[in-house]
Amino acid sequence: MVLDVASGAAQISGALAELTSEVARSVVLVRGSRGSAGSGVIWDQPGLVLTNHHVVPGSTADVTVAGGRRLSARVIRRAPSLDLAALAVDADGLQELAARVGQSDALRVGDLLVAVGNPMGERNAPSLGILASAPQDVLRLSITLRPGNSGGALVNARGEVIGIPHMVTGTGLALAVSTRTVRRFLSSRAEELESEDLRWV
Amino acid sequence: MYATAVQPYTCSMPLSDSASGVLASLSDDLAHAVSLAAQSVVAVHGRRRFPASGLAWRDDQVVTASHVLERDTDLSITTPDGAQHQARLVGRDPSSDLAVLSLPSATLTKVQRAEPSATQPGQLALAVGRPGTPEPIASFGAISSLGGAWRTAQGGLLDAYIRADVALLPGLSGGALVDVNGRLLGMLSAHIAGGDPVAIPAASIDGIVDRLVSGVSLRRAFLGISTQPVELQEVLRQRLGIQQTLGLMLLGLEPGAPAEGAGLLLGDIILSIGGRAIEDGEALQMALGPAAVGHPTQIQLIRGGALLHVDVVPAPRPN
Repeated sequence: MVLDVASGAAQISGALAELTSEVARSVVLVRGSRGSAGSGVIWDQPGLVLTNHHVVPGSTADVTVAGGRRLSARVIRRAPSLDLAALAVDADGLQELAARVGQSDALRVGDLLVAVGNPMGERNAPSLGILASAPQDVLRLSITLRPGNSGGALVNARGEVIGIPHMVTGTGLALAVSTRTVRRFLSSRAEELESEDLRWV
Repeated sequence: MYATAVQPYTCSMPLSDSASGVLASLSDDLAHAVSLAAQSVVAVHGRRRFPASGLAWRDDQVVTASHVLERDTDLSITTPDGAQHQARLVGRDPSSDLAVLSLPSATLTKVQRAEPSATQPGQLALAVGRPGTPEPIASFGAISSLGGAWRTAQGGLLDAYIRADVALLPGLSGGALVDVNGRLLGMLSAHIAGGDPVAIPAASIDGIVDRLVSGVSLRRAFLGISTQPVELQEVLRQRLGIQQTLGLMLLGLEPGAPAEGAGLLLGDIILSIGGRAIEDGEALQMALGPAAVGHPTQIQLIRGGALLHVDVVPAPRPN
């Protein structure tokens, strides 16, 4: 990488800020019915918000979208073993906020990743990291995440969502559910996922 | 069916081309750095748990962390192409957590090194390992500090270190700390600094590898003394004509050890060993490296207010 140090770093810095604010449009604050809180992502399908199973223990949740609008949501599908839940939100204007969803399988070890979520109650805080090992159903990340990042957006350098962070496994290490797994979760029939504990609700 | 019944949104708000380009290019650079470094990072099989990592030091030689080898025989490595090769332990130095393996049957891609003088705190760094996985593993951070002589958790003395805030993924020990071009800065060990991500710089590894390969003992020199730094009175320094403000007073002498044999006494204040001023315990340790073993060495000391010279032959440190 041959970059003029000052302008190269400033460009990267500015680009990360731009990426964060773009991704933040798609990130919601999710409050579960039993006092749990985490993040969610407005998916690229009408009325759909993706989050982690463990963020929404009950059948309903409360979703705050960019701009502060609070909407009520129903859990329409969950897979505890994948730590995924799908929420239906009945509201106008979500289309403009939907995330661009990318291909987690195209990632390479070392690729730059940014997680945007609501860690410790802060809205839309970015964390910078890389992909730590070859992409699989679950992505291993070299990144520092905190409680509240769960269910948020993990994006590649182009701002496309390629995973949903769900677990911190050590200092500077975290796991995310890949979009490969999210696609399987969304498109499978219930019986195909039965062995993986998929529940219709 | 929920998801298959509806058409996806067409997304209208992509990131600007310039921002996307800058970040995509950084992402490419990082992925390329990992991939370049990984060509010279092998998996090392020498323990019951999952494999650790190693660095292709020469065409037929791998450097790894000593602590990942639970045995001296039945060792093997997996090269980046997936082939497994028998490896022979050439030597190991647990105190600096380094081991050298030779591979008669493999031709390795030697590590490419970074220019040491260009390395600075704040630069981005990647940790790259290969714990038996087909693809390498990597973590990312910045160089936190570069330091001089230090003592490892195992009591070894190394002349330099590189500390980086990279996550130590399981199996990264023996792996590479590299710059953003994928060039080697040093070998990572989760062991030598009590779990902190610290790398032994490539230049330091060279010296240890040379000694391990030539079969020279890495046991440190031993005098059999315990000491404490003491201040040297101004009036005493003036009388003796010395500049040094601190010396090491002998508080203990091990029976039968070289210092006692040479006639040192409790209360003697050591000023220098082999011409090197000794003002603290670190300096004493530096003077007692493996090279000092078996060589007559002059100790300058103060006894009863007078300067005295004593010759001593340091022994290898007992295990």
